[in-house]
Amino acid sequence: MTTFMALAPLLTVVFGALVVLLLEAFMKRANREPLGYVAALALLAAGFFVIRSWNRDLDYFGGRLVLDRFSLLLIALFVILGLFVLLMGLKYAARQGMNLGEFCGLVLLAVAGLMIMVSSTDWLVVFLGLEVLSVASYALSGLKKTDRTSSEAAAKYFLMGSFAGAFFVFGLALVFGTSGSLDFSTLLAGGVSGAGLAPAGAVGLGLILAALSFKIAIAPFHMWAPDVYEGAPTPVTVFLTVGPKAAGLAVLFRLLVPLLRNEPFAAVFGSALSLMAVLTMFAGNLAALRQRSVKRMLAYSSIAHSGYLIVAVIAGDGPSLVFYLVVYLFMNAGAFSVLAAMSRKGVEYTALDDFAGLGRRYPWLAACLSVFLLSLAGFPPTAGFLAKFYVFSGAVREGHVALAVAAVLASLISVAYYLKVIVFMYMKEDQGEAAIDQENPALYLVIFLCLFGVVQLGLWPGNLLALIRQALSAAF
Amino acid sequence: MLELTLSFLVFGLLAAVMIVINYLLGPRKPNPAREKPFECGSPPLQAGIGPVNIPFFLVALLFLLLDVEIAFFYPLALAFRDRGFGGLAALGTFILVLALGFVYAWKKGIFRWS
Amino acid sequence: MAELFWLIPLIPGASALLLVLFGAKLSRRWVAWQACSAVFLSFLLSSAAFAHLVRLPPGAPGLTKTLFAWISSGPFTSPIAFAFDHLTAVMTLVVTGVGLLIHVYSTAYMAEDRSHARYFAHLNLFTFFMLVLVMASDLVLMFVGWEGVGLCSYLLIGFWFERPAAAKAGMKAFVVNRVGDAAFILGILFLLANVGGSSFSLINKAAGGGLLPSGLMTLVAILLFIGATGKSAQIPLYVWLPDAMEGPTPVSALIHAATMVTAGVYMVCRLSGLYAASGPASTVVAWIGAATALFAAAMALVQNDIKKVLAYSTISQIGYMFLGCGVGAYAAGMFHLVTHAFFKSLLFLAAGSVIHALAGEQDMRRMGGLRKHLPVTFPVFLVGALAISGVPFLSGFFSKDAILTGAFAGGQYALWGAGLLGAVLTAFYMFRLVYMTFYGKERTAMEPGHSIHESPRAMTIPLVILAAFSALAGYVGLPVFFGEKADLFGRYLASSVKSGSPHLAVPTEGLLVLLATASALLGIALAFVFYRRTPALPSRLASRFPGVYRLLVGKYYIDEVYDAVVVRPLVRGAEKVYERFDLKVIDGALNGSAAAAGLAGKGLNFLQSGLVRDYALAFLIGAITFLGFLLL
Repeated sequence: MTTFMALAPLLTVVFGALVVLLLEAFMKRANREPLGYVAALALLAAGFFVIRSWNRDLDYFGGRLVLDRFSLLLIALFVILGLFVLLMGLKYAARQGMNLGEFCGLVLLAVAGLMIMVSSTDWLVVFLGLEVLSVASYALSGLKKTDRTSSEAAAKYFLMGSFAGAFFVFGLALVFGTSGSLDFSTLLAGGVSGAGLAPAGAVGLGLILAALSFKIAIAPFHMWAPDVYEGAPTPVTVFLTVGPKAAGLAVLFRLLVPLLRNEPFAAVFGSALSLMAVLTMFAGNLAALRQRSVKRMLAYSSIAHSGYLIVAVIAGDGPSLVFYLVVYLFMNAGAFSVLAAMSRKGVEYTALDDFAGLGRRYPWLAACLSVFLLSLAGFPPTAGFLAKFYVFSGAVREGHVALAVAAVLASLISVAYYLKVIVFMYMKEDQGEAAIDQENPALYLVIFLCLFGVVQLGLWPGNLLALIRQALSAAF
Repeated sequence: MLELTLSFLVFGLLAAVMIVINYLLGPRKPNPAREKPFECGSPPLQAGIGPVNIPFFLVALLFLLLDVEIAFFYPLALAFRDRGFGGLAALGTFILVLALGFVYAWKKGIFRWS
Repeated sequence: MAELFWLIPLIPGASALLLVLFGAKLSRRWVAWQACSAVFLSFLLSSAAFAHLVRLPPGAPGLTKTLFAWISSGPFTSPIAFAFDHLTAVMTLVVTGVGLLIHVYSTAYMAEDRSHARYFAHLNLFTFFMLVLVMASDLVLMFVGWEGVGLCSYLLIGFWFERPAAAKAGMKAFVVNRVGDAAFILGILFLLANVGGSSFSLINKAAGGGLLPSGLMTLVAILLFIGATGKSAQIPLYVWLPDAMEGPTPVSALIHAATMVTAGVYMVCRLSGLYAASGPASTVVAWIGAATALFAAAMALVQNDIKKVLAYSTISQIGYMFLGCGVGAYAAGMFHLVTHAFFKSLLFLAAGSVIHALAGEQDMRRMGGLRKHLPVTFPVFLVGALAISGVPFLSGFFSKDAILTGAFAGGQYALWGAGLLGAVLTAFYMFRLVYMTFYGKERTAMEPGHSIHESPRAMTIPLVILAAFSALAGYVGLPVFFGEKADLFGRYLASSVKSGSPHLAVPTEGLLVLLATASALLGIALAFVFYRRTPALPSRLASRFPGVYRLLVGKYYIDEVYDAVVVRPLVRGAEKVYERFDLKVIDGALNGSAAAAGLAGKGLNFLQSGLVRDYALAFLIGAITFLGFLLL
C-alpha cells in the first residue's frame, strides 16, 4: 500500500535528530542528559511506527522505499541498537569529554541512514542511505575531540569511507549503464559474461560489492576497521560494529540471494565471496590472538564475525543471518558495555592488564563480560552458540561443506583470545588500581538487557525465529 | 568479454612489471637535496603544507549547502505547473531543514570569526 | 518421584548458580552442605528413576521429558528434552553416586582452601553439565553438556591458578578439547544435513535402517570419535590429561577418572547403532583404543609422580573401554566404565589421602613405608590396585574379562592379545606404585614438627564405600560360565545399546579367564621382583636400555612434537599476520610516519601519516584482485 505512513519511522528519527541538535544549541543547562531522553523518545516512537507497520507492506516514492517485513525487522534491530548506544553514552559523554547533544543527534541521523539503506531495492536510495550513515559515522567516531586516537579514527574512517564511496558510485554508473535500471532485480538482463552479466555490469557489481564489503569490514577491505573501532568512543564502536555491518549484509542479502540461485553467477561470485569469507574469518581471528588491548581484540573479533555472517549470505540462509545479527547485537553491545563501564572521568581501561583480577574487584561486571565473551566464542548454551550453529548447519545443508569446515576451524581459534580475557579476570592478581566510577545506571540497564538477550535467545530462541521466518518467507 | 579480460591482463601486467622493474633496478641513494619538493629553484623557506583556519572550512561547507539549494530551486521553477502544491510543500520542507541547519550553525557561533 | 527425573541435572545447576553468585558471602559450612546435598538429592532422584525403570516391562521405552522447544532450523527441530533409559541410568547413578562421595571427600580435602566456595560452585556446575550430557536426548543438547564439562574441567584444572603450571595445564586441556570439539560439531552438522534431526533414536534408526550412505556414516562416526578422543584422552589427543593432574586431587578423581573422560565412551555407546553400522569406524575405534591402552600403560611404567601414574592408567583403561566398544561389545565397555569409575576414583582419592598425609608430596621416590601410618588408606588402596589389575573376584577382573572376551569372540585376536599384554603392564605399574608408596624404607622428607597422619573421617568414609564397590561391583556382570543369566548388566543394557558379539563356548571362555588371571598375576609378580625383592633391578635395567627408558620418561616426546608441528607454526603464523597488518602497516606507520614524511615535525602529525595510504592501497589491491577473479 502506497502511503505517506511508510515514511513515519524515518521521519520520526530525522525529526528527533533535528530537535535534539537545535535544543542542544539553545540549551543553557550544564546537564545535557534530557537531550538523551528526547532522542530515546524519538527512537521509541519510531519503534512504535515499526510495530504499527508490521504486515502492511507500506511503500512510498513509487515503490523505492518499501517497508516489507524484512526491512521492518532490521529497522527494529537498528532502533534497539540506537537505544543501547544512547543509553551507553548518557554518562559516558560527560566523562570522556563528548558533547552529548551532538552525539544523540548524530546517532539518530546514522540510524536514519541505516533505515534508508535496508528499505530499498533501488541503488540510488541505498547509496543515499549509505552516505547519510557514513557522514554521521565519521563525525561520531571523532566526537572525543580532545582525544588523539578518536580524531585519528575519524580522519581515517572519513578518508577510507570516501574512497569506498567513490567505488560504489563508479560501480553504480557501470551497472546503470549496462542494465539501464537502478533496481537490483534487473542486473541479470542481457548477460554475456561468465557470470551471466554484461562484462561492464560484472565490473560494476564487483566495485559495489567491494564498497559494501568495506562497510561490513570484510577482508581485504577491513584494514580501517581495527583502528576506527579502537579509536572511536566505546558507544560509537558498538554502533559501528553492528549497524553498518547489519545494513550492509541486508543489502548484500537482498541483492545476492536471487542472483546466487543463478548457476553461472553463483559459480563466479559465490566462490569469490567464499574466498573472502574464509580470508575474513582467519584474518580477524589470527590478528585478534595477539592483541593486548581488549577493545582492539574485540574490534578484530568483529571482523571475524563478519566472516561468519557472510557464510550465511552465501548459503542464502536468511533466517540464520538475521538471527545471528540480532544475537551479535546483544553479545557485542554487552561486551562493549562492560568495556564502557571500565572507566572513570577522563580514563578508560581497555588494556588486558587492566582486567586482571576483575573477578574479585567487580564480580558482577566480570561475570557479565564472561557470559558475553563465551557467547561470542560460540559456547553452548549461550545465544552465540545457536547463532553459529544455525549458520554453519545452513551452510552444510546447502552444500558449502568446505566453507563450514573453515568456519568451524576459525571459531576454534577464536576461543583462545576470548578465553584469555576470562583468564585475566579470574586467574591473575590485579596489578594496578583500575578504580572505576560505578555511578552509571543507564549503562547497567544496557548490560542487563544484553545479558537477558544472550541468555534468552540461547535457551528460548523459538519466538524470535518464528518471527524471522515469517518475515523472510514472503520476501525470498 | 575477452577484450576486457585481455586489456585487464595486458595493462595490469604491464604496469606491474614496470613498477617491479623500477623497484629492482632503480638505485636508491637518498640525500637531502633529492628529498626537496623542487629539484631546482630556491630552497623551501617553510613546510609545504601550512595550517588553514578551521572556520574557513565550516563557512565553505555552509556555502556549499546553500549553493546546492539553487540546484533544486531551478528545476522546480520550471516544473512548478506540473507539480503543484505537492512540489511546493516538498521544497518548503527542504528549505525548512536547511534553515534549521543555518540557525544551528549560527547559534554555534560559526560566523564569529575570531 | 520417578517422573521428577528431569530435576536430576537441574538441582546441582541451581546450587552452582547460587554458589557462583553468593558463594563469597556464605559460610564454609553452609557451602559444603549445600553442594553435597544438591548432589545427594540428584542421587536420590536417580535411584528412584532407576527403580522405576527396572520395574518396567522389558522393551518398554524409558522416561522422557521435553522441557521446551529449543532449536528449529529449517526442517529440523531439537527440543530441550531429557531422557532416562537404561544406559542413562547407569551413567547417572555413577555420576551422582561417585560424585556425591567425592563432594563429601572434598569437604575435608579442600577445607583449608581460600577459594572454598568457588571450588564447590565449579564442582556443582560440573555435575550439572555432566548430567546434561548424560541425560540429553539428542546430540545437540549433549554437545551443550560436552562443552560445559570441558569448561568446568578447564576451570578446575586451573583452580590453583597462582601456580603457572596449573594455569597452563588448564589452557592446554581446553585447547586440545576444542580441537576435538571442532570435529564433533562438524559431525553433528553432517548428521543434521543428512538425517534431518539430531535425536539419538532418530540417528540410530537411520543408521540401522541403512538410510544413510555408508561413506557418510563412517565420516560422521569418525568425526564424532575424534571429539571423543579429545574428551576421553585417547591417541592422538590424550596429551592434556597427564598435565590436568595439576588440579586438586578430588577433581582428578571426579572429572579426570570417573566421569568426564568417559563421556566419549558413553557417546559411542549412545550411538551404538551408528557405530555398529559402520565397520571401518568401529575398526578405528577398536584400534585406537587398543593402541592407547598399551601406549599409556607403557608410559605409566616410568612415572614417579603418583598422580601421573594414575593419569596414564586412566588413559589406558579408557582405551580398554573403546576397545570393547570397537569390537561391538558395547555393554562390556559400559561395564568397564562403571567398575573403572569406582576403582579409579578410589585410587585417586586414596592417593589424595596419601598426598594429604605427606603435606602435598606427590613424588613416589620420597614416599615408602606408609603402610603403617595410613591404616585405612593402605587397605583400600590395595583393593583398588587389585581391582584394576584384574585379580579374580574383584570388579575389574570381570569387566576387563568381558572386554577381552568380546574381542576374542569377535575374532579380533590381535586386539585381544594387545589387551592381554596391556593387562600385564597394568598390574605391573599398579603394584610398582603400591610397593614404592606403601612398602620399603621410609624416604619421606618431612620437617620434624609434622607427623604423618591418617586423613579425617570425611575422607576415609568415602574411601571405604568406594572400596566396597570396587570389590563387589563386578558381580552384576558375571561371565557366561556362571550361567546364561549371570550377565545381569549386559541383559539390563540390551534395550539401550547394540547387543554384543556371539557367545563363546564355556571351555574357551574359561581358558580366556585363566589367561587374563595369569597375566594379572604375572604383572604383580614382576612388580614384586623389581620393586620389593631386588629394588636395584629397575635402575640396572634403565642403564642397560637407556634409549627405551629415555623414550618412556620423555613421554615419547609427544608434547614436543605437538609443540613443533602444531602450536608453534600457528603462533608464528598469527605473529606473521600481526606483523604484516598491524605492526608494519599500522604501528609502523604511526611511529615512523613522522620521520618518513620529513615535513611533519614532532610526530604529532598522526593524521597525515602513511597509514591511510597503505589502507587505500590494500583496498585497491583487494578490489582489483576481486574484479580480476570475477572476470577471469
